[in-house]
Amino acid sequence: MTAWTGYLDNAGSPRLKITLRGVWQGVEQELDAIVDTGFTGFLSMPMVDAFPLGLVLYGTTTTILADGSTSYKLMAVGTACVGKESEVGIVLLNMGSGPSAVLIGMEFLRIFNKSLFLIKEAVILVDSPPTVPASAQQPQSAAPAAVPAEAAPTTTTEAAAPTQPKEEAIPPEEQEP
Amino acid sequence: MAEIMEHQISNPKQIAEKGEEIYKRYQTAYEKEHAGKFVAIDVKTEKLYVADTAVEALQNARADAPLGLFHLIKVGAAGAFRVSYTANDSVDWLFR
Repeated sequence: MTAWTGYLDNAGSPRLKITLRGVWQGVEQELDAIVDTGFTGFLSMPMVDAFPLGLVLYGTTTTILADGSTSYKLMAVGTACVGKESEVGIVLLNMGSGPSAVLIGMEFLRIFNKSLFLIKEAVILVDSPPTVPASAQQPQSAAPAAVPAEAAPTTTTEAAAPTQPKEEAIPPEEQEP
Repeated sequence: MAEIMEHQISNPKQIAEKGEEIYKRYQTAYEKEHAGKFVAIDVKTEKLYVADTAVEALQNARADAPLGLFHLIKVGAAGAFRVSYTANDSVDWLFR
C-alpha cells in the first residue's frame, strides 16, 4: 500500500510534488502541483514551462470552463512520476490564459488509482480500494454513507483503513503486518 | 485539407475547428454507440480513433499515424475535459 503525502499551501489548496518528463531521457522537472478536483483531466500547465521538458505534442482539444463556455487547448503527452510510480497522461498547455499553476486533476488520481484525503493540514493520497461495495453506494438507513467527519482524524496513520471494505479485504499475504 | 497540412501545428485553431467539423459528420452515430468515450480525430486523414480513455485514444491514433495531428473529443460532451477556472479572456492567444 503506497501513500503519498502532500500539503496545504497558504491559500488552502492541496499540493503534491510530482516529476514530469517527456521524450528526452534524463530531462525531467519537479513540479509543485495543485490537486484540483474540479479539473477532470490529467495535468494542466503553462506552455512555457512545458517547452524544456520535450513533451510530445499531439494536437488540440476542447475544455469546458467553469462558466460553461468552451476553450481550445493544445495538448501533449507526458509521463508523471511520484515516488517510484509513473504513468502516462495528457497534459493541457495554457498559453496566455488559464492558471499559471500546474494542476493535476481527477484523471491523474484515476490513472494512478489514488484516493485523496484532506485531514487538517495534511494531504494524503492512498491506493484506492479495488471496488466500492454496493453497501457504500446506497445507504441502507438514514445514516449517511460517507465516513463521518469525526472518524477522519483516525485515518492519519492508517490512511487506507476507512475505505477498505471488510467483505473484499486484501488477501493476508498482501496486507502490511 | 491542403491548407491544414501547410499550416501544421502553427495554427492550432484551424486544427481544432477542422477536428470539430469532421466529428460533426459522425456525431449522431457516435453519440448512440460510443457515449462517454473519447475520440481522437486525425485532421490530416480524417480517421477517428475511439477508446475508453483519452490517453488510450491518442496513443492508438499516434501508433497508427505517427505524423498525425489530432483533435480530441469526448462523445456527448461539449469538451473533453472540464476545468475549474474561468477567465475574462478565456481564449488562448494562439486560438484568436
